[in-house]
Amino acid sequence: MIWLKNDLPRLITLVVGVVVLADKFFAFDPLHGLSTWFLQYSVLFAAFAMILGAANLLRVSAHKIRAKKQHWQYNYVLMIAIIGYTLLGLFAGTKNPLYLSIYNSVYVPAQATIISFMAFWLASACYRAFRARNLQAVILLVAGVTVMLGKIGIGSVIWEALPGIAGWIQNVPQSAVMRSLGVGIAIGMVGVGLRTIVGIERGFVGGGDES
Amino acid sequence: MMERLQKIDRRIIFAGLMLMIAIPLVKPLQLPVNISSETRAAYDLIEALPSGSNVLIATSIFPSTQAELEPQTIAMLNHLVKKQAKIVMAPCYPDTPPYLLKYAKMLEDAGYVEGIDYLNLPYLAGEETLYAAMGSDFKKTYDQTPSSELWDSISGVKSFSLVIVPNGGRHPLYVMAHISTPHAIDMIASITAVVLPNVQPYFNSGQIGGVVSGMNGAAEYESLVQVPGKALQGMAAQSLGHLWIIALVVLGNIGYFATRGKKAGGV
Repeated sequence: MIWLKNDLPRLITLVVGVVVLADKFFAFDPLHGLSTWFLQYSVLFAAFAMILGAANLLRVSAHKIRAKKQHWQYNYVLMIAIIGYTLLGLFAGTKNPLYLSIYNSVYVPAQATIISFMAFWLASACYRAFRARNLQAVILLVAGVTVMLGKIGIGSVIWEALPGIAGWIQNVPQSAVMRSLGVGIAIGMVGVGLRTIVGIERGFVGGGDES
Repeated sequence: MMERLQKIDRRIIFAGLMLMIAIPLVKPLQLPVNISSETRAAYDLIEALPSGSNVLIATSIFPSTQAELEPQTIAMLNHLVKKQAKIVMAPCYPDTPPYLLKYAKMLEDAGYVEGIDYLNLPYLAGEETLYAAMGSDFKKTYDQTPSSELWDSISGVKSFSLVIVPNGGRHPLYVMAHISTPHAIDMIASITAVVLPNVQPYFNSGQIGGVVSGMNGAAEYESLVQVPGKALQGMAAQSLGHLWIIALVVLGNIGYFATRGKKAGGV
């Protein structure tokens, strides 16, 4: 049954990959219909993948509780939250006031708080990293400070040319670097895509060996 | 003394930043808003829409991006309401649907009717695959959507005059690749500030028609539509926060050069 684990997924990848890719190059209705059908199903599979992810998280948490691993008690909180909130959404509906209240009063502030910490870490990191130790560091320092000042209203109060200079940094040197990176990544992705379609890349079926 | 400038305690850095952010909340400050070419282009795209145009908002707003994306979304919704656009909102991230309920309420307060003037589509998983499916056959992708005047008037993705993509990641690039460029539909990327470097080259090349970036982009849009909101309030806090960071950088460098000179002299 090794073909079921290895060859079948690669065959499906080959067929789906070739059809979806060919649809981008040829205006042929049956091909477009098949490509659309594959894409609709991929959305469905993505939803199943989310369920699989949640189920796996529950399995891992249950294992941690059974094995009494470090901080195992928190896994109870995680499991109760996942199961409880899922059941509430399934039976009461996602427009239920309690469902929305938990989302707006617990989840939103908690996640917003965690992301807000980043401002403090960034302040500390900027202070430590932006030292004019050499020419490259000076360029980084000047560009960073100029963009930071140019993007806020007070920048034009300090010097009215600052927003223009910040815009130039973003539009010219930064765009040039991002374009070159983008082209490099795109070429790499084409390579990985082709390797996956023709079956050279096998990591996604759990195989580590590549020919 | 100069060595101390290089080793300012982290708690002082944090307390200073908190103080700088808190000052404008206690005493609001009025700071000038410079309109960037990216935000101006986004505004012009919506302004040029004929009355009653269909607009798709493929959004993936969630709590971490809310501070930046929500003021942008609200400012653009205010503009779309002024233009009497028909709005279809598609959540593309699992955390997004509750936000759309809020925006639906806002639209209804402005006289919009669900199914006629606006529509909330269900969340679908898939991210880039979802956008590819939407670009391939929009109606089939959302084939469980109940019939309504607005939904029935949409035959496919080409029925939209504009796509707005509020997101804090790569979604604008996915939409550009699978929807806006292949179907020649105008697009606005509504993004967190950190994403701007990824999006900027595509704005410069004309593939993305407008970009509203970060809280400053939201503040610019609020000032363009003349509906002050959270972004204009928040910009004062952000400005003072930036100034604090710059002050720290300057102090650190003063300390670095002063002690470096001493060390060099001592050798």
